[in-house]
Amino acid sequence: MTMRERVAWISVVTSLVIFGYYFASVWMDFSARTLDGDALFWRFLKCFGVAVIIMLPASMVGAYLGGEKFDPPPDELERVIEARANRVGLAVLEVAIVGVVLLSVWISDIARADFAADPAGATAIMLVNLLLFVTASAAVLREVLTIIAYRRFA
Amino acid sequence: MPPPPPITNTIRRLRFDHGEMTQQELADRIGMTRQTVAAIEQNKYSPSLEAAFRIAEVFGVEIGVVFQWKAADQPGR
Repeated sequence: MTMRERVAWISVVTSLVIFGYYFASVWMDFSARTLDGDALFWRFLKCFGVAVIIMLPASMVGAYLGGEKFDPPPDELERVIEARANRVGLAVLEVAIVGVVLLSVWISDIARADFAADPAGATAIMLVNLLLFVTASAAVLREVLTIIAYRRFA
Repeated sequence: MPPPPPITNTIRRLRFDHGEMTQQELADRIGMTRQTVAAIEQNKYSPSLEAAFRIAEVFGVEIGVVFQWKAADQPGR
């Protein structure tokens, strides 16, 4: 397994666990109609910090155990794999962002109906978290495609 | 998965002829990872022209000795 594939595995597992927890908590808050923008902001920052704290040392340990450099320059096959994964990830992200924009009408309706105290704030919180969700999903998809490509060539 | 390219190679034999050179040794000499050399050797990936020349240079042979084009296997040719 190359260092880049190892980093992709670390990234996928960490993202699924940490951001899976974050988005599940956002969904639970949304279901209970108790969205608190301040609490979500700090929760997201904490999750982001924990993800970085896990990913960096894990990658360093992976490099040490594999006897490789921490961030070696990619060779031509690795560049091909990354370019394909990036292309698909970007396309998915573009489509998903358009989807979020289209959903904004429905979201503002929910905000008006269920968050009457502050519908504008609730709309902003929901839209920001939806954008975070599609961005994180596209990033995970890109890493998964990278892993699949490495496995295909292995 | 796309079909393998109509190219064969003799890298395995050339490595054997050069003192059982490992994939890692070849990879180090051409600036690639061992996994990429393995993919080329197993005909899962067609290297760039530059990489093909580098591989031939390591073994001290012409590029045609390392890679062979199997045009006859292509439909419609």
